[in-house]
Amino acid sequence: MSRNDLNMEDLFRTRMESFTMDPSPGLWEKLYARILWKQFLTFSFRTFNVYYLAAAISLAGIGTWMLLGEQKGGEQQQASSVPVETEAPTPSTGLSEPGPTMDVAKEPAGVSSTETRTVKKERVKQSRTTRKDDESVPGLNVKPERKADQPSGPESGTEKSDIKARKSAPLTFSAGFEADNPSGCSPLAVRFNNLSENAVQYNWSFGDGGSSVEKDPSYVFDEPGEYTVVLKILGADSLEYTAGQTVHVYDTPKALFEMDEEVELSPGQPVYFYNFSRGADFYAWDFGDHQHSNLEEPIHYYESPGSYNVKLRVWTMNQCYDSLTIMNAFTATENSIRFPNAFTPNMTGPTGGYYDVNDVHNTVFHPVVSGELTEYQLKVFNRQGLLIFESNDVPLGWDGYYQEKLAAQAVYIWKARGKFSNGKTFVKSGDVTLIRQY
Amino acid sequence: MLDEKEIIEGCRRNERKAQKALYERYASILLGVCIRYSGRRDEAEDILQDGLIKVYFNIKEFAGKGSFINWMKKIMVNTAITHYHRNLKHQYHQDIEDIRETDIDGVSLNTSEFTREELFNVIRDLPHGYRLIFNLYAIEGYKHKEIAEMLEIDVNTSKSQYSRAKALIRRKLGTLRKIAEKTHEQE
Repeated sequence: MSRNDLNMEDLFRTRMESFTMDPSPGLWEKLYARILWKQFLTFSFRTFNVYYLAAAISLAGIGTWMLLGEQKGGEQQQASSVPVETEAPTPSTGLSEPGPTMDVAKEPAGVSSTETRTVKKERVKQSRTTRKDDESVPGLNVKPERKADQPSGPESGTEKSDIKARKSAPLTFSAGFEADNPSGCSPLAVRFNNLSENAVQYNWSFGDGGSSVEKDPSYVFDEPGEYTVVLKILGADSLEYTAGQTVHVYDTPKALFEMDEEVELSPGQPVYFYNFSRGADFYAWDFGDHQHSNLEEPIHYYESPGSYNVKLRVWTMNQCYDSLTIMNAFTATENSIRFPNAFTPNMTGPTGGYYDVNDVHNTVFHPVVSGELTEYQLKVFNRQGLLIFESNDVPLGWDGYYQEKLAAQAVYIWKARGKFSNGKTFVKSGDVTLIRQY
Repeated sequence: MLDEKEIIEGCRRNERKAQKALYERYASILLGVCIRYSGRRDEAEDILQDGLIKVYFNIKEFAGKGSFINWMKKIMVNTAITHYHRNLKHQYHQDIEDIRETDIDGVSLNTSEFTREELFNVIRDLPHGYRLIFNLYAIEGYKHKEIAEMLEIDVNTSKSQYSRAKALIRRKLGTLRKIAEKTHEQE
């Protein structure tokens, strides 16, 4: 925070903290009515009276009636919720499973494949038993663990023999994968290296809604966040195995700034830079004159006028980066002359053509100049080519009158020539529409 | 005339006299807070009413530590924020591009030049969201993190909105000063 900014906050704080405004008359009465109403609604023994008594009795009556009705409804609800509640513990045993599996699967398969396998076996067995239990409960059993750990197919009858076969088989089955860069700045492209053993089918879900069936997919995470990438494989033993890994995608900052471009650069003239960057923690400014700053919103003093390339670089804590350069700042608006294409003269009489730049009524046709002119000439013709107005002075524009009479509503042609103080000359022409206001 | 302590005690006992005394003594100061947040008198008076109702009915919770007026001001600020959220859908969302049009060159501010009314007008004319954040940060002195929590926005949003509000104010003050200089020259 810079010196001048502090000044502004102090200015407002000291002046506005004691800012007062008188409420409109009658506000107290309105307020008091609301207080009384609210007091009436809030029960209190101190203010107890016959109105309360009546209200309390009727409320109590309505309340009892409603309560009775609700209790009946409540009982029904309870009855229907009983089976749901008894089911609740079952999924939790299943859900606790993926945790250890994921951790194991993160390690390279060569090291941990046996371990993976034992865990898998146990899990499969366990989930089988739970499933058996579930099967005894008819109806609405959608088991999360069935999806996660078990064969999704309908071949439940053959599963038992499958497990036996697998026990005796020398084959190992496991799901596993590696990510080439599991954390980085958004958008983050990640290549996954599949380490699964004896799989016949792959099913990836990337945690942000994306999915793939490739063996070694590449995926781009567009949005920052923490995503759990889950790989489900179908082993050659037609059982399903899963592995998971978290991918961290960090917010990439956006560099954005503006400055007062119309400032005439000179020593002692502050130039304000407005920092509109998003999501950044650190800033580095290069003002283009070999000066630097790490402030968020610096004020810079240029030694001499000129055009500078101002660069802002921004970082986050996670080293995500962005930058923005404004090329040739401060030159864009130097030395320009522009003309409007319409104006509405004063209807009541000629104004002489002298105007106020800030006047919004647009009664005088005149150029908008930035920079300093040493020579200037403006000529306005009508469509027959008759010279209607001429000025050699910027502050003198055309008020829309010709020989003390308001000119017709029509299109007029203008031509302007001149020279700026830096020696640059210009010749411009165009048309302007005179619009009468009735 | 009741003093502050008597007012608080009286309001705790729901005495009408004390309630009215509180209103008469503090309403204009508190409305000054509300109007900074709302910018419109009718809305500010609504905020004041809602806020004062909270004051009267929760005065038991005022611990007596710290200043009473600051406690009430805080309630007004919170009420103003509630109003802002409630009315958000009715607000005219001013596009940032519209605001830049009155661009004038950077000026270093001489802080003593502006009257309180001029400063208030500058605040009043800010877009609603800017006004809220500027008030909270610059005048009430909340941190961006606190503001973000109060308004349920991102910390960075608070920062960038504040930055924009400040840029806008700086330009408005610059215009004010220019006009002031011009009238001075004419005299």
